[in-house]
Amino acid sequence: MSVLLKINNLSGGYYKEDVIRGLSLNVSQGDFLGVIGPNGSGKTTLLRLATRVLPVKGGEILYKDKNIARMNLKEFCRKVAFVSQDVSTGFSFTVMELVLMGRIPHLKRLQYETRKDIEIAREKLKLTDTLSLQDKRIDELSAGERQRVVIARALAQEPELLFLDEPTSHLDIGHQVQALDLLKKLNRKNNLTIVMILHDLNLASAYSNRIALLDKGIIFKEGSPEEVLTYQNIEAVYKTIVLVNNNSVTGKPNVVLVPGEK
Amino acid sequence: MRLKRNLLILLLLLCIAVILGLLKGAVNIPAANLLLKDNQVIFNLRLLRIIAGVLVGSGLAVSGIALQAILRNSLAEPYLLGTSSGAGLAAVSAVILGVSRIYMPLVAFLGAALSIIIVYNLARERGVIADKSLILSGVIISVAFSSLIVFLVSLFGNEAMHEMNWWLWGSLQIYDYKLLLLVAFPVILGICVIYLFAQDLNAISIGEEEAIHLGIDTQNIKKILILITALITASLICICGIIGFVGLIVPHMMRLIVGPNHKILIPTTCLAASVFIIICDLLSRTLFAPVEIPIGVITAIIGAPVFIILLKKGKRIS
Amino acid sequence: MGSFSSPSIEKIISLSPDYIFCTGLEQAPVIAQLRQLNFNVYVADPVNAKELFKTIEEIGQITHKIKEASLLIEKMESEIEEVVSKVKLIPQEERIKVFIEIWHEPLMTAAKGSFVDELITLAGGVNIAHDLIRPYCNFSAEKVISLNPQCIILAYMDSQAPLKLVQQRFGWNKIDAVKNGRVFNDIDPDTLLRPGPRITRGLIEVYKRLYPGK
Repeated sequence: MSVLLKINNLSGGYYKEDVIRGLSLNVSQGDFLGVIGPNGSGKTTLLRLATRVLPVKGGEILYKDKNIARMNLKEFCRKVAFVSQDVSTGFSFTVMELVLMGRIPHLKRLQYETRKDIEIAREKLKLTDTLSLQDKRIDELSAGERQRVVIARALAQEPELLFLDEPTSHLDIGHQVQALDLLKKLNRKNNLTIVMILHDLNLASAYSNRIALLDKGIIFKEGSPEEVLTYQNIEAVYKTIVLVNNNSVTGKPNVVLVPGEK
Repeated sequence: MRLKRNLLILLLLLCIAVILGLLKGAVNIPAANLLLKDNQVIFNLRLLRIIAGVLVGSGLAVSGIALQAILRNSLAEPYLLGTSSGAGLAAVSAVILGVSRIYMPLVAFLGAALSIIIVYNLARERGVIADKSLILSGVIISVAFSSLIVFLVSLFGNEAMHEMNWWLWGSLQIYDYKLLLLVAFPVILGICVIYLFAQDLNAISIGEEEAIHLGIDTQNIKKILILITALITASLICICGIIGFVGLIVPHMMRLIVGPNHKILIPTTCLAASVFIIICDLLSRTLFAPVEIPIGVITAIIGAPVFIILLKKGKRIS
Repeated sequence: MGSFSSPSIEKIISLSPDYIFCTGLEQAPVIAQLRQLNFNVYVADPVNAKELFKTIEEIGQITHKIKEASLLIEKMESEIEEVVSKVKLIPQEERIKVFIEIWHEPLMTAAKGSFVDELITLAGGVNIAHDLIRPYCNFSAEKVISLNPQCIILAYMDSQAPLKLVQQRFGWNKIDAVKNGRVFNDIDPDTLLRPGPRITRGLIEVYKRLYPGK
């Protein structure tokens, strides 16, 4: 598998503080990488740096061996998409209008959306089970519906690499599985490379083929779910006692939390 | 389809407004006689006001749209960045210093430009403009300059006060048609450029980060758009003084009717704002003819209740 | 004592005046305050000559200068009478139509109830904006052009020549006053707008502009 994203000795953050300090990571094509770590470990910052929202202070990020800071932004966004956690929007666009915005990286400034663009948008709405909502205004939707719409928009960009920051936080368990199943399917069938921040360690375990555990701005441990999700690693980073057994259905590690108080 | 229908309706309304604006005025001229040579001057005067109205209405409304998208706040309006008080302060100072009337438009323009520069630089932090800083700086400068204006007026009395009234309430009374022509260039150009950025405005209005993820160079686009709205607003202040509510009400109203997609919003708002201003000007000229009520008063009196009604009824509310 | 519209109360008090003289309009809040402090305040806001004379008389009584007041009134009355008698000789059809421009942007004029309107009338002029709802209001340029005054008086100063200022306005060059160059701004606004002993000066100046050589 070719390496899609190379992160070499990355440093960056907000103002004077460098949240990420000397982080190195490779993402291969076809990876489903789960990014986990305690609050403040730099997961969101890492994604912001990788999607050009924050400037790189030290090190470099290469996409197919090209420095992302030197790429044309629209060209970059045709390859890389991002689903953010925050799904609130100010103005009340319709669902279709929002998902169509995912086509912007493919459109020149003055270009109107073509029939093909609308078809693509519709297809992505179907994939995320939101086609029936296409004419509804975004503020009429529930948080879960909004989150699926945002995923649809990112998919409409037809990226090669998709970053997601807690894409299932507002979804009920049924929709969680549905969304992640979809992403896994796209990952397998369409070779969509996925990098996803997840708080739920078991979701990460079930769907990712690789996991990166972040702590204090660097990678604490990286590898397969079995390699990373050991009780030693988790306790060292999360500072809490857990029990790790096997999920009888998936065969992957299952992290069980141990309450301090009963 | 829907856009075409909306545009046609608005175009029709505009034609009606223009015709009314030409027919009615302080002087009562029956329609049949309006085109006679004797009445040509008055006809031209009214035509000039209508042209100014279209310019002012579209310019202010589209500037309002741009600022509302950039700041992601539908309460933003063109004078937010201090242009109005800057122009007013410059004008009042000039009157006190005895500067001749012919330099007033230039003075006002410079005053507006100066306050934008100050607001912009106050809001800039490490080359990045934060939305909240921009709004805050704008408000601070507006308040500061407004108090300076009041201070000057209290010291220097009557003439300064008359001048202040013009800036406060505006007027479509055009004395210098050459100036109107001159101002038309940057305003029309500015409106076209903002329309060119419709795609970017759509993306920016849903979020700073979201826009970056869609390939929009937000920092540079914001700088360009702020500059253009400042140019449009300052140019319009030169010829018409300060006319409030248009840049706030009409965009908001149109957003409730046609939606927030800027590709549709911008052209429809231009037409709607022109109709609004022409009607307001008509009322200002005819309600108590031959006394003219300042147009800013009319836009406020009509604008405020319309706004409240729309807010309560509107399905698309941001 | 501070400025015209906002006199300094402290300064006034510190001088312990026996009497304070004000005009009503802009100084109302100050007047109320001074009265509360038990000062003797005399308020006058004459809108025509008759009221002005009454005011002078009353001030004369308060300041115990009754004789001087009477003399002043007599002098003013005779100056006014001089002008008025000359005006009587001018037939109605020949009375000059006047537009009095208080300010340019917004266009403001003075109507009945204002002192300057009274002066124009006394000087034999016809104020085209005489019948308006308020003594001072914004006026329509359209109306000025259609009423075609023969004389325009600007009640403010500008470094530009008054004729040039008005001539440049779109549509104003058709007005008789502009065509014949009868646009004036050289009458001291204080003698036109502020009721006081100097209004007779203003009256004479207005008459001279309206009927030169008569």
